[in-house]
This record gives sequence, C-alpha cells and structure tokens, in this order.
Amino acid sequence: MDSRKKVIIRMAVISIVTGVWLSFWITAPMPRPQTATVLPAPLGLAEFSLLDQNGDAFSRASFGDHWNLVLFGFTNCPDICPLTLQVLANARQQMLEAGAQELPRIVLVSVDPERDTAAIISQYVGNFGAGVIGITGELAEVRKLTDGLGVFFQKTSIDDGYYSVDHSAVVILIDPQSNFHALFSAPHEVASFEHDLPIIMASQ
Amino acid sequence: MMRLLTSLLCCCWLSACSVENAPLVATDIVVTRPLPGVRMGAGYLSLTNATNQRILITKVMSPNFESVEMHESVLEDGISRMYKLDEVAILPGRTVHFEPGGKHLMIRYGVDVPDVVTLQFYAGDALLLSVDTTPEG
Repeated sequence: MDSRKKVIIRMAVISIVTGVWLSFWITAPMPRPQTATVLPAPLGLAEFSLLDQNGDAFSRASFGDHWNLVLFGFTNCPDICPLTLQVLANARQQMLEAGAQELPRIVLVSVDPERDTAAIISQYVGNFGAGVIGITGELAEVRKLTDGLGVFFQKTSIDDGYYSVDHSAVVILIDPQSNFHALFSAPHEVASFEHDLPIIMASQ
Repeated sequence: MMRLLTSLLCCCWLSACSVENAPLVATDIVVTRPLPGVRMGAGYLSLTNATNQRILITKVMSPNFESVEMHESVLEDGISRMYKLDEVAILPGRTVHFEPGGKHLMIRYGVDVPDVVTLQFYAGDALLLSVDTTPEG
C-alpha cells in the first residue's frame, strides 16, 4: 500500500471517529431542571423601594450581579418560615461543599413589614448563615415587588394578641439582570435546589 | 360535698399524670428557643392516647410562657396558612404528631428563656399530661 492510500485511510478513520463522537455529544441529553419551572423568557420586575437588613436602600437594581433565591415570610412565623429558610441555607451550603463556582444569595422578603423592622430582620436572617439577607419597608412598596411576581400575602387574625400572615410558599429565582427567571413550588426540599440551581445558573 | 368530689377527681387526674398508666404519652419532645429578635418559638412532639377512650385536648398551658397555642401550618393551593386549633382529638391507641410544617405548638416567650420548660395538656379543666423539657436551638 502506498503512502497516499495510508493517509487517506487514516483521514477516513479520524473522520468516522470524530463524527461518531460529535453525534453522541450533540444528541446526549442535556441536564434539565427537575423541580423548577423556568420562564420561557425572563420577566422584568417593577421598580420598588425597600430597605435591606442594614437599613440601606434596596431596589430592583439591588438584585443585580447575583442569582437570588427569594422567599416570602415573616419573623413571627414560628414554624414554616424558619423551616423554608433553613432548606435554602442548607442547599446553598451543599452547593458550596460541592465546589460550586457561583452561589445564590438568599433573600427573605418580609410580608409583615408592620412588625419586621430592618433591625429585627437583621437579627433574624443572621441565624441562617452567610449569604442570607432580608428586605422590608413600606407595605405599598412590598406590594410593588410581590404583585409583579404573582405572590400573594394577607394578614389574618389568629386571636386578640396575635395575627398571622398567609403567604405564597413559592421560592422565586431572580437572575443577575434583576429578572424573574424561575420558580420553585412548595413543598421545598434541599435536593431540588441542589440539583436544579447549578443547571439554571449555568444556562446564562 | 361537690367540692370534695371535684378535689378527688382532680387528684385522680393529677396522679394519672405521674404514673405509668398516664392517659397520654409524649415522645420526641422538642421546644425551640426563639430566634434572636423575635419571641415566637415552636413546640413539637408526638402524643399517644394510652386509654381506650377518645381524648380531646382543648388547651396547652405553661408556667414558663406568655402563651401556648395549638396551631397547624397547611399548604393550600401554594399558599402557606396557619390556623389556630381549638381542640385536637386523639383516638384510643392512636398517636398525633406535632411536627414541622404541620400541627405544632406556637409558643410566645416572655423576656427570658427558661432553662427548663413545662408543657401541660388539658381536656377542659382536667390536666392530662405534664412534661418538662429543655429548649433547643
């Protein structure tokens, strides 16, 4: 066999191997979120003016430069709110231990701004580790944020000395462009966030 | 005479609380400390009816707290709601669980957090069970 034929055969073999590898790579199933609902197109948020846990201004733009896991609750909620916050904090910790390059910021939006001052929010979110902040402010400003996200909340009377606040249990993912990007419906589990967040965050 | 009878009945209930054949048996008791900045805590436990009759818990009291109420967190159409429970029924031999995200005790702490807390479960005015535990968290 002359050298020209050998070259042609080698090139043919390389082409076939490359083609097979490429076809596998292209047709291999991409990992997809299993729990989260990702919006077909990210949705812009309305402008609002709130305060973070330090008493500093927090607006729509303040969501920028972070992936934000946003939940809604209040500090006088003894059961489900700390439970959800702990799930998110645990998921963030799991991602950190797995070596994630980027971690989401956890944002508690108070649906009880009447009682939840910035100082109270500051003490409260401090119990859940790094990367957790809280925002509060005027009720009308909270509504501007929640209405745009389709989040419901309503004060309800439990007894003379105490009221509760019914609220959406959804966790919303706001992207670094301050857009509503995806949502996680309740009930919440650490594994769901741990699986889906890296996939969604890597998609941008 | 009525006063004597009432006292005797109360003694029977109270003695039942401290002996092996108590009408209610509590396990897995957890009382959470309030997080800094708030005064609300939660209580979780399992209560088993050790009698052959239905038990109706109508109130929970504690000398250590401003108030203790039986509440239930529920998820309805994506909305998290909390209801106050006026009573909790436990059928003979059955267990009711007070657990995170479900039935729980809502505890309103006073200024101080005691080292040991007492929870007392009542049917009407009759004390069914008194348990001591240490707040956690």
